[in-house]
Amino acid sequence: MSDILASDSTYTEDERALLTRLCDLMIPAGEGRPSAADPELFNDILSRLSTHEALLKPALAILATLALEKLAASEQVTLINQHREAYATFFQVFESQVIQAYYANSAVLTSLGVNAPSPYPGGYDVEETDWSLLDPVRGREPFYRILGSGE
Amino acid sequence: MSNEPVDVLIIGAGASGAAVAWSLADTRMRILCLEQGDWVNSANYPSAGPGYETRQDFAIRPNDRQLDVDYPIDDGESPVKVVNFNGVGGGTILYMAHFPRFHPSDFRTRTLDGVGEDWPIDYATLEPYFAENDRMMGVAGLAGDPGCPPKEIQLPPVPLGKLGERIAGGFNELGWHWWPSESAIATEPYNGRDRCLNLGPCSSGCAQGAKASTDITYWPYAIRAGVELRTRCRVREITVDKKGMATGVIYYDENGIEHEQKAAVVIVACNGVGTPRLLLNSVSTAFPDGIANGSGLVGKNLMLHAMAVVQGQFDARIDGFMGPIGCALWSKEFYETDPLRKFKRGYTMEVVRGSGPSGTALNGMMMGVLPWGSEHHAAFDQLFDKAGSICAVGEDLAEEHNTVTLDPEVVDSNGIPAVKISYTLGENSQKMIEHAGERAKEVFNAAGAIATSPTISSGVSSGHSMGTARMGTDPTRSVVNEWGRSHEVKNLFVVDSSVFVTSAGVNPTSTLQAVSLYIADSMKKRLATLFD
Repeated sequence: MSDILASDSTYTEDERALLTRLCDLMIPAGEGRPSAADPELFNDILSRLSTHEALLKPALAILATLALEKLAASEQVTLINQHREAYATFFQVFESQVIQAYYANSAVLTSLGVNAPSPYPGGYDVEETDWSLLDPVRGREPFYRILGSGE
Repeated sequence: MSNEPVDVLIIGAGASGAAVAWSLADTRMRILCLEQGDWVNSANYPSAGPGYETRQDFAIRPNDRQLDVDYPIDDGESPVKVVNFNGVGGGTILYMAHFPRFHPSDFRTRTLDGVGEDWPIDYATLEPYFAENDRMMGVAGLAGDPGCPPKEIQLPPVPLGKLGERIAGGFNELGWHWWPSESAIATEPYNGRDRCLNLGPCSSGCAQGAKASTDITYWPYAIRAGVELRTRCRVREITVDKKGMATGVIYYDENGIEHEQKAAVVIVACNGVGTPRLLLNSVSTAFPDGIANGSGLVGKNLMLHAMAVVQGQFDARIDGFMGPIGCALWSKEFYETDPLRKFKRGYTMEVVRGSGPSGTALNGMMMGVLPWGSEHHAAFDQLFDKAGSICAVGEDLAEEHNTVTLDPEVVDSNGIPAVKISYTLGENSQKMIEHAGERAKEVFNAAGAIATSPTISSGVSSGHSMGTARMGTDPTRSVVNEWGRSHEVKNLFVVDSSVFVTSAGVNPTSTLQAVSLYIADSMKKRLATLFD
């Protein structure tokens, strides 16, 4: 989770509402996983986005004019996709931060069968290999280039 | 700190600097190593905390890290991006610990294949140093590989995991060679290092300390033997006297204070980019084009390896993010020159494990296969833990137009000129990449992959910088002699991968450390006549 508090954010209420909507459109609830707009997740996302305000606010102002709230969810996604190229930097930053928050969330990780937020200290058990797999190779004569005298 | 003169001054505490310091320590000479970065605390490695896949402070590219101990590298026009780490351990902090040796043929490419140049030394000369280095680093693997010369192995191999087994099955189906990778990873406790826990992201540091980075292998022994290691000391230039002998260096400490350090012998160990940078920055009346640059070859003949990466997608989870990311298996099937192919020399195919959740999602979004909306989760489930890659590391022939030069405009945090990389992939490399990409796809198909990516060769990253201060017996065609001493400055040595004459088709760390041990031993055998 980011060290920056969500309360440090200077996003306006309308901007927060739009960001919440975008989070839910990008990753809605499903497959037993929460929406990226889930309050705990959104707080984390907002914290991460707070360092990018100068970059994101102008694009947010334009996206606000799309009146997404008047459309069905699938139509909203279609409309967003139509604007991704024009606002590539905005979406690059937004998507990256949403993904970093979402896929580090413990509820999400648990649903994916990943039971710790970091590999260390628990590590993972990887089954010992049955090296009989190598039998077809073991019978092969050395084939690296063995140099003769003078080479 | 004391700047009293020392017998030996080593610049750089990475893979080669650590090895040469340890080897020279038994001479009882006063040895000092200056390192521009810090010691790294393994508790700070990303894999010890949340968000481990996306932290930038341990990013492999210095241009992404942007730490004050890093220096800018303009590689914007190069298809291969430069990777390094500035700190005690150097590149071994972030390397994948894939630990192959160069093959005997790699030292004789001109004689055997009519390309590149022959080295002035051969595999047999380096063999005892390879073995010594393996014992110091601790190498996991399996003896008996028919694709490589025989060697002693210290530790059991890294387990393949489901991903590795699937791909090994593909190689078997095709009748092609594969073998478990030789890996500088403690699969059992070794010399104070605990066993590997299969954390995954070795390339952002090993929190467990199982990976052999030189801060935990060579350095504790070297320091115990009396070597002084001074961190946060960035060398600006090597100084010379009127006779053209090196007298020491000028460096900046952590607070930007300038110091002069005198030394009887100067050893440069800053890798294939940092070494030419320092040599070119060391301008004097005696050496107006940079020290040791009478041949004009300092910074030229840069080799970064021809890389071809193909990702394969399977229909079931394969524990792809568990286990050392770069160490599973290799194939030497296409390593040696085959006259039936359209290129000379060859490549190693190496299996690279998959990403964790964040890495999978970021890649998926970047590749345009992870959508917004209700299909997001299903698409993610198709990607996560079901993918792995084959990376072909191909021999990159030395070409003089591939260079490291000083950047005329950009400087580091101490005002020292930074570097610019000018590099293109030659025709031989391009044909090799094309061949390797197609073979990798065949392997995935034979292994039952449901999809493969196009071959990726541009935008890939390489910490394998070689050739920019090559060794040789002819002073007009090389920078250092056959035991690492500058042709022109008799008390100046280079011990890192800059001295490589060819790049081979393998990761270079094992070989560059063997070379540095060999050079150290050569110095010890000639102590009475070192400057003759």
